[in-house]
Amino acid sequence: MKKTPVVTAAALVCLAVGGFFVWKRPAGADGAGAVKVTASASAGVTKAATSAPARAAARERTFKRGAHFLYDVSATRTFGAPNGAGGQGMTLTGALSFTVVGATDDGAAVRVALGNAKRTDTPAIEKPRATSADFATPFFVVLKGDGSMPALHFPRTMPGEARRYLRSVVSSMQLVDGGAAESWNVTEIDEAGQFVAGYRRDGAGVTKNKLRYELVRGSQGLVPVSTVGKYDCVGGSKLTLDVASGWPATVDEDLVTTATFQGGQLAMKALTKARLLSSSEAREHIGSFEAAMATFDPDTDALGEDMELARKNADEGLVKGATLTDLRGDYEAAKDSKGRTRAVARLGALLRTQPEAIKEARAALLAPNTKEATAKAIASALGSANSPEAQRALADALKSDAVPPAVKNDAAISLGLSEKPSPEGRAALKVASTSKEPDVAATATLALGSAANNMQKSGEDPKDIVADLLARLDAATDAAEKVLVLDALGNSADARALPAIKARVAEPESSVRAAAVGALRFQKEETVDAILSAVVTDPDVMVRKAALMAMAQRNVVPLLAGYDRVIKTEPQADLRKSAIRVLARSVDAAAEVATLLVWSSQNDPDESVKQAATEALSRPRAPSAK
Amino acid sequence: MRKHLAFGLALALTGIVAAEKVAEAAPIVGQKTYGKNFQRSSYKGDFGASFEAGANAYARDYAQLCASTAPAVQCTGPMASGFMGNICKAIWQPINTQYCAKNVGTKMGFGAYGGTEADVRLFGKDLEIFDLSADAKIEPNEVSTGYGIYVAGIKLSGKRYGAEINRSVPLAERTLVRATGDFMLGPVPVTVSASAVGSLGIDFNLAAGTAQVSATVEPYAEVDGVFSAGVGTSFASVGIEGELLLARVGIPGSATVVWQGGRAFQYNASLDLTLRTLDGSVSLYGQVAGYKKSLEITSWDGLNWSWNLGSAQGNFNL
Repeated sequence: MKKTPVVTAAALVCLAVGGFFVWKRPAGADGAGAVKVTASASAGVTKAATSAPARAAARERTFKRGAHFLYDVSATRTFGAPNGAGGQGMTLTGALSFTVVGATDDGAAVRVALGNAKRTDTPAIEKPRATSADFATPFFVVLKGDGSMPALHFPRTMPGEARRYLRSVVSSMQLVDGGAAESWNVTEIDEAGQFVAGYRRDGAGVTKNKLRYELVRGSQGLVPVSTVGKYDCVGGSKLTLDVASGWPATVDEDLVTTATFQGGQLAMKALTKARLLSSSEAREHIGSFEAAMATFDPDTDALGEDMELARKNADEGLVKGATLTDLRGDYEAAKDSKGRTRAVARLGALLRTQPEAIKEARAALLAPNTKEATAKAIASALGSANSPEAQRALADALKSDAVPPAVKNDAAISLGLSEKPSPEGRAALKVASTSKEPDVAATATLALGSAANNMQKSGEDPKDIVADLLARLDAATDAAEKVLVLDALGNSADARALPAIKARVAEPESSVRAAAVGALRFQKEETVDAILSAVVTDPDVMVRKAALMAMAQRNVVPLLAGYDRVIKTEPQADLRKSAIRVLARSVDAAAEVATLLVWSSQNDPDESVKQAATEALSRPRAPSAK
Repeated sequence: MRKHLAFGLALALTGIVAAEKVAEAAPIVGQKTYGKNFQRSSYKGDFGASFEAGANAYARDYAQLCASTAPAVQCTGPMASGFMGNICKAIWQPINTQYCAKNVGTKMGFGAYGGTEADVRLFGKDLEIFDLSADAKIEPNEVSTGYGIYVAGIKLSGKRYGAEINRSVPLAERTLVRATGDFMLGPVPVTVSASAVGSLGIDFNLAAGTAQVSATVEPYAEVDGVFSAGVGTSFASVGIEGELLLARVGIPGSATVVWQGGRAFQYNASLDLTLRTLDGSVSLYGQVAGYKKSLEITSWDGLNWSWNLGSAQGNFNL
């Protein structure tokens, strides 16, 4: 693990033979060959690579402008189940060249190009997103003195798929020097994330293993592995060195990475074989890094589009080529809830991936001969489509006299839950909130609150909805109306509603008080926690129940005083159990949570509450949360 | 309005401090609750569920409550005066005022409620997924019935009614919670999606008469976890699909409370329950040489519970 402080070099493929390469930044712009990587490698052409013991004499090496290394490369990446079954493989072959073409503040600029690039898919695929020609497009890497690769630069025109596979190949050949140590660990970054590599000298070469991934690359950048699940790596690579140049002579990688996530597992098998064919000088590319800079894509991995494709593919995997008619038939023919649930999930996926199906869904929703249950399911599926067209169809259903109230209720719920409520959908909800059908009016009112909440989440200001609801609350004279509007304001999470909600916390009618307390659930102001902690002693059980429901939606820690009161003084066992259920979700949030559960498990007068607390303490934590 | 706001602020300012002292307060008398309640949970790795259900009846005598919650009764000893005394009174005075305001007419309040709540563990996160309830009550100043259906804290359906209501509120199957995540596995971008999809509903028959309140409530939930994964590459035909039964739960429960005059009440509460959870599998599928192949990579055995929790009945005096 000991690492020589001055260590040194080896860039991408620069192995520390004996451990003493030194990267020296150019001292000045001498133009001719100032990328001083003091090199022992001869500037002339060396034909075949020759393996040498890793403990060869220490040397200092520089990167010489124009230094050119050519490898015969074959890299296969097979994606599939952990046991290798059902895999889809892609093999990339060609002559991979590395040419030192300049310098950057971080290290040497190296041009990389895969000549005679050939892509082979097993099984074959019809339309690859990156062709063999795309893989042949030159790109650049920056090689730091410690052997790490701080940057890659791909031209904007190169498809993301080509970038990632080329990055994978280049990363497989990466080796960071360990000085004179027999073994050493280094943190490195590859196409999948940041991992700890373990190096060990092994006879004539070096063995490299991926010990563990620490961060994983996703659309949000590098995130802790625990947010995905778990990564396990088995196998590694072996590299031997070319005595003359210090660059790897051979690279043999056989590595299986298994990702465990949400109950599923997927594996990637990487087989990489590289052989140094020649090292020579190729000065014609000097300066190409600076010349190409304007073409570099700042979004190196270009993941956004492909992650979107992955989401679409996931949905299409659910749809499996079915049409709306097929899925409607599946729903109606389903004999149990599992069949209906699956049909609705697939309907939602269909409407997300095939917007043209929305017209058909709208027609079915509005048709008088559509079975009520089917129409309700379609209204629900349209909600998960999250598109303006889908919301327009739902708005039409709300407005139609031919659509039964039960279907309108589901249409209203769907509109309220839409991630980006459209103006048309909001307008339809507003009209429906005054419908003569009391249930439709009530559901639409609640949905207006949800829509306000989703507007805020999507960056819009729901001031009109909130203002309307507040005016309605002020005008309300009977308890049922007050309760309904407070419930809608609770859904909205809008801070402008807080004063009106707080004012109703002390209403004499307990159903109004309960609604006001419940409406605090999403309010962010700090005083809300104090209010909820206090009202858990309200005389009315329904108010206390509402307080617990609201507390369940909030961070446990600021509410510990309230939970303490519930656990120790709440007269009703069922409410103490509710508190335990919520606390059980946050055992790790604060030591006091476990303390309260322990107290309850030992002191509660009701055996069933004690049992619930005991179970909460022994509940297995989610592996991905550990 | 100003009075209400002042009360809210007083609660806000004093709640936490006073909370520590409330446990020392004198016992509050004049209210009792009886019922049948149930709680179970089952967890396996990143998945699981926790259920709670109950049917309860309660009664209150506001004359006793008015007397026993008076600040003079509750704020004694170190809480009788000074700063802590002020805090104690600020807490108890509004509560006492509410009780005493109902110390009129029959001076009695009673009601019944039932419902179910559940958390699910999905994506390794514990989420409150549904809360279904209905209640009926008689207070000296209020007679009302109502129900509520919440999903992940959002109230989707619910309404208060008058003295009697008999309804069935089935919601269509819908995606209740959907979570997606993405990551790279080697050079392959992968998106995984787990959704809790299901139907929720509640049937209830609520009645609040002059001397009897009854709530017969049957909430039900049928929720499945639907998994899918896709890859952002040329070989789109490879993916993950799976289903996990998260909850099949039906909870018929009922609670009745009958006022027999004076401070005497009779109650009856019953609860049955069928619950099935954590059953299913996740498979990798691929289009290989024109044939679709599927390979199971994770499975759950399933848990089935069925309880007749029976009924509880009796008489009590407040």
